[in-house]
Amino acid sequence: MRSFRPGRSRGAATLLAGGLASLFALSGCNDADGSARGGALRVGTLLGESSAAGFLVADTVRPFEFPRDHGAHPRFRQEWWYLTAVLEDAAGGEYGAQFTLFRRAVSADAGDGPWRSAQVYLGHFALTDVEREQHVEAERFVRGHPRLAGVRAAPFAAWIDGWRLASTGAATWPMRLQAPARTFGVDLVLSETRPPVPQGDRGLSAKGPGAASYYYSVPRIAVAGTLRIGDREVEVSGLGWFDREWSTSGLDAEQIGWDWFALQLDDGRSLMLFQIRRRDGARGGYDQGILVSPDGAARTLGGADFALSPERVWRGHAGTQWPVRWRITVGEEVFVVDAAIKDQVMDTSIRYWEGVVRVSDPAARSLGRGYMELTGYTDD
Amino acid sequence: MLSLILGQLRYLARTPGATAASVAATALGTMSVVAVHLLSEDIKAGLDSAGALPIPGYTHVVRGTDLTWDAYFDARDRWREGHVPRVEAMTPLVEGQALVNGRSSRVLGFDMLVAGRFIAPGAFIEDPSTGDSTRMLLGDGVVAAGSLGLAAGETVRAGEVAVDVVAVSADAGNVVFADMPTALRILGRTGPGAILVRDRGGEPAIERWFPGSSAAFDIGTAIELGQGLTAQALDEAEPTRRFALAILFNLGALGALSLFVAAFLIYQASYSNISRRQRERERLAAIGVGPGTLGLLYVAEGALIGFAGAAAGTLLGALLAGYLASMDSFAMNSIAVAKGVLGGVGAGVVGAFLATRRATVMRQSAGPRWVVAALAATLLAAAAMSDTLAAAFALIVASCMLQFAVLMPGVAAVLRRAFTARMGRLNLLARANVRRFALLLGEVDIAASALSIAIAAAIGMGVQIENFRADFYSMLDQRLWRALYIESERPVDVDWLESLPGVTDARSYGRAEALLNGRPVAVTLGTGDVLESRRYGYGAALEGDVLLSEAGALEYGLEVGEGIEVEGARGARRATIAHVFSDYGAPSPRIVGTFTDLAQILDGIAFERTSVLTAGEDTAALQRAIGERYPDAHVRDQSELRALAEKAFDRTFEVAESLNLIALIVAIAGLYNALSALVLRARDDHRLLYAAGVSRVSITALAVQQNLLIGAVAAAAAVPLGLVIAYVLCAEVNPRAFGWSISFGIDVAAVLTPTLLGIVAALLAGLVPTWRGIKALGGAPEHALL
Repeated sequence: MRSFRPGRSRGAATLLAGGLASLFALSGCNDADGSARGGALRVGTLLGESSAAGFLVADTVRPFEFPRDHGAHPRFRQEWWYLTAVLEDAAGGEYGAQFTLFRRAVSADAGDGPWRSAQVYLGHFALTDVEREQHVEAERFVRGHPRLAGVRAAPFAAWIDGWRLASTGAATWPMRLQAPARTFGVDLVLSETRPPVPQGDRGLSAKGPGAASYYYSVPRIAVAGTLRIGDREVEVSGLGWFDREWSTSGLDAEQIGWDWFALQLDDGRSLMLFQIRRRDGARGGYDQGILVSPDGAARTLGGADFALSPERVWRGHAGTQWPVRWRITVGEEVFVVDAAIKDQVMDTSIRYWEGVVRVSDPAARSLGRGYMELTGYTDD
Repeated sequence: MLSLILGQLRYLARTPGATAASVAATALGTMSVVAVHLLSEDIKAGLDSAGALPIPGYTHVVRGTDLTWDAYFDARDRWREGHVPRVEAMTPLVEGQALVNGRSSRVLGFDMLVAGRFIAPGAFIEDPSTGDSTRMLLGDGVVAAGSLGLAAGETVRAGEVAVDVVAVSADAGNVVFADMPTALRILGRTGPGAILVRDRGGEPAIERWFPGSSAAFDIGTAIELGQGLTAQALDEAEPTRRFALAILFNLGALGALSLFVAAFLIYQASYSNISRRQRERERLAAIGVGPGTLGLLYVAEGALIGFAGAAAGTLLGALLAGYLASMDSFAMNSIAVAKGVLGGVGAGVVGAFLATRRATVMRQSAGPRWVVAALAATLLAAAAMSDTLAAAFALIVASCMLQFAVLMPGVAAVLRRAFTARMGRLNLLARANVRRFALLLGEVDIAASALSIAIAAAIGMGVQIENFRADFYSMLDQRLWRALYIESERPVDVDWLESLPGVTDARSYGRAEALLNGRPVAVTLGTGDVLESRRYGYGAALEGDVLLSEAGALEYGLEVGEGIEVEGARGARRATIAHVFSDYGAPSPRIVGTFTDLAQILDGIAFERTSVLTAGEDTAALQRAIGERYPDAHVRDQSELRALAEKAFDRTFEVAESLNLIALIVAIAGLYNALSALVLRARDDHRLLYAAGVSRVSITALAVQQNLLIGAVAAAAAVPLGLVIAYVLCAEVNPRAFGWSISFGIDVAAVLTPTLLGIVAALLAGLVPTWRGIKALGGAPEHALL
C-alpha cells in the first residue's frame, strides 16, 4: 500500500519520488540521525519525475516466489521493505519499532558500476517509548552500492548505511534487525510464525485507475531482542508486521493520502486495512483490507466490507491535524483504534504519522495492538 | 534614586560636546569590531566557496595518497555504528585538475547523495530548477563555476569525458563539481583522494565569535576515525585557509584595539566629568548619597554612553562592512550585534569604573601608574618565560601598559622640567605657553596615551600588514607561480617543452621521503638554480646545500649554516642548510634540494610536476600541445588561481588599512573630548594673555602649538612602541599562532603615515575647543587690567 505518496498539492507523485527528490532539495538532512528536520517536502524539483518508460508495470496477477520475491525488483520503479513491531519489556513497558527501506530507480537502465547505480535508497528507523511518551526517528539516504545500500534475496539481506535487516542463516527466517543510530538503536531477532499473505487480488493490489502494486504481508512475526533509547537499554519481545510492495505507478491527481492500519488482535487474528482519501472526500473504490484468522486463513476485504471514521484529532507541529483515534467497523465488529501516544510523527524529509496504536472495543476493553500510518495531512 | 539618575542625564545634556565625543568614540570602536566581524565572516564564506575545498559545512578532512575505498567505507561503518559520535556527516572526495572546455579547472567529486546539502538551493546551485540531479547521478552531469563561462545545458569536454553542465554556481572559482563516478572518470582516478567530515559541534564557538582564533589557538581538534585515520580540521589542513585565518585573526585584534582605545577615551571623559563635578559629589554626599551609589551612577552613565555608541556603531559597522566588501545586501547577525553591544557597553562600564575609582578613591595619586607599571613588568617577565601565543600577546599588552604608565608620563615630566628650567628666560607669552603645555600634558595624559597607543598600534599593524603582504606574495611565488603546471605520473620532456613557442622556462620537480639526522623529512627535488631558490627567499643557486622549512628548523632545532645528514634508501649525504624558508604553516619538515645532489641516495622518487613559464598570457595552444603529447597529464594554468587569491587578499589588506584609520579617528575623538574638558581651565590663561594685549590670533597660534606639541609627543612616543608591536606580531605572534614568522622589515610609509596622521589628529582635535575658548574671550582686550 505504501507506494503511493499522498501529494496533496501534487497528486500523482509517489512517496518515494517525493521523498527522494525532497532530499535533494533539502539541506543537510541526510547523514544526521535524530529528529526535527522540518520535513519540508519539495517534490521533483531536482530529481524530477522519472519516466515510467522501460519499467515493468504491476498489471496482472502473478504468483509470489520465495525467497526470490523477498529481494529487489529493480525493473519496477519503486519498492519497500517495511517492518513494524509492538514490543514489551519485562516490566510491561510498551515500545514500538519501525524500520523501512525504500528503493527508487531513477532510471530503468541498470547503471554501469558500483557508484553508477540507478537505484537510490531511503531508510527510516523510529522507536516509540510509550511510558515516557518519547518518539525518535532517523533517516538515511544513499545510492545503491555494495557498501552503502542494497537488497539480496537469498539469504535475505537489506541494508542501508549501517542499518541491516538480514537472515541469520541460509533460510530467510529468522532475520536480525541491527539498527544503530546516534541516540537510539535496536538489535532484534525476528521469527516468522505465519506464512506471507498476499494482499488485494492474489497479491495484485489496485490503487487507482490503471495503477496497482504487488503487495504481500507477513503478520505476527515473533520479535525479541534489545532496544536502546538514550542511555537505557532494555530487553523486549512482541509481535511484528512485515510488508513488501513494489510497483511502477503512482497515485492519481485526486488521491491525496491514505490511512493504514496493521492490527494484531489478542485473539490471534490480524487485521490490515487502508483507505485512500480523495480530494473530494468520496471513497474511491480502492480501499482494501485483509483479515487473517489464527489458523492463517485470510479473508480479503473490499471497501464495502469495512468503515473507517476518525474520532479525535490531535494538532501537531505547524498545526497539522492528525486523526489519532478511529472507529473501525468490519461487519458486525467495531474496533476503536487509539494512538498510544499522540506525537509519533515521522519528522523526516517526508512528514507522516506512524506509530503504536491500541485496539479496544467500544466499551474500552482491550482487543490488541498494532501500527497506524497516516499520510497526506501536511501541506508541505 | 530617580532624581539622581535624572540629574545625571541633565548633566550629560548640558555637556553635549563631551557626551557626543564619548558616544562617537565608542561608536567608532564598536563600528570597527562589528565591521571586522562581518567582513571576516564574508571572507571566510569566500574561502569556503572559492578556497581550497569550496564545499560548505564540512569542518575536517582526511587526506592521503594511499586512501582506499575500503578505508573510507570502514570509517563510514564505524561512524554509523556509533563509534565516532563527533561526526555528523561524511563524504568521500576526489579532487584534481582537468581541462574543461579547454580551460584548466579544478574538479571536485563527492558522493552527491550522502552530501545532499551540497546541492541545496543557494549552496552552490543558483537555481535548482535548472539542475537535473538524475543526470549527475547517472549521466555525466556537472555543476560548473560561473567563472568558467559555461552555461547550463551545454555539453563540454572535461578531461576525456563529455559532460553536461546541469547548473552554474556563482560562488566557486574555476571549479567543476561532479558526482563521484563522473569525477573519477574525468580525473582518471580509481580511489578517493580524501574524506570530508562534518563535526557535530560545527565550528568552535570561539571561531564564531572571533574569526581566525581557532587556527591561532589550535582549537579545531582532530577527529580520530579509527584504524589510523585522523580527520584534521580544515583550518589546519589547508595552508591557504590558515594564511587567510591568520589575517582575520590580526584584523580582529585590530578591531578590538579600536574598542580598547574607546574604553580609554571613555575613561578620560568620565574622569574629566567626575572631577569637574566635585562640588556636586560633596552635596550629594551631604544628603546621604554614599560613594557606592555615586560610583554606580557614574558607571551607569558610562554604560549609557557605551550603549548609545554601541547602537550607532553596530549599524555603522554593518554599513562599513557592506561598503568595504561591496556586499549587495545589508549583512547583520546576532553575534555581530552581541559583540557590538557587549563591546560598547563594556568599554563604557570599564572606562567609567576606572575613572570613578581614580576620581573618588585614588585621588590623583601616582599609585595607579606604578601599579600598572609593576603589573606590566610582571607580565613582561612572565611572557618572556613562555612561548605560548597568549604570552606573545602579553608582550604587546605589557608594552602598551608601560607606554601608559611610564613612557608618556615620563616624557611629560621630562618636558615639563626642561621647559620649567628655562622659564626664567622666557617672555610672558612663552611662559604661558609652556605652563599651559605642561598642564595639558598632565591633564590629558590618558587621552594622549590613548592617542599614542592608537598611533603605535596603527604603526605596528601597518608594518605587519606590509610585511604580511610581502610574505603573501612570496608565498604565492612559492606555491602559485604564474605558470602552467603539468601533473603526470611519468617525467615530461623538459627540453621539448622549452622548444615550444612562447615557453621561457620549463623545469620538473620530484618528491621523496628521507631522514634528516635520523628523523623523517619530506624532500622536494628541483634544479636548484637561482630562479628556483628565489621562490624560497634564497638568492643563490644550491650547490650541494639544501633549504630547510621553518617547521623543520623549529622541530629539529636546526639553523642556517649547520651541517646535516640526509639519509635515503640508497645512501646518505652530508649537506649544509643554506637557508630556512617559510612553509606557511605546513606542519611537516621539508627540505628542498637538487636532483643532482640527492637523487642518487633516494629511492621511490615520485615525479611531482613540471612548471612551464611562458612569455604570453594565452596558454591555450600550449596546453593543447602538451595535452596531445601527454594525454594522461593534467595541465593547469595557475595564473587564474593566483589572480583570484591576489584579489581576495588585496581586499583584506584594504580592510586592514581602513581599520587602522578608524583606530586613529577613535583616538582623535578621545583627544577632542579631553581637550574640550580643559577649555574652561584654559580660558583663564587665555583671558590673562588677552588682557595683557596678546591678540586672539597669537593666542590661537599658541593653542595650536600646544595641541601640535601634544600630538608630536604622543606620536614620538608611539614610534618605538609601534615598532615593538610590529616586531612582536611578525616574529612572535604569527609563528606561535600559525607556524611561520613574517619577515620583519620597516616600511617607512607604514610608520610615517600614522605618525603624521596622529599629529594632525591632535591638531584637529584641539581646534574646536580652542576656537570655543578664544570665542569666549569677549570684545576688545582689557588693557586697563594691566
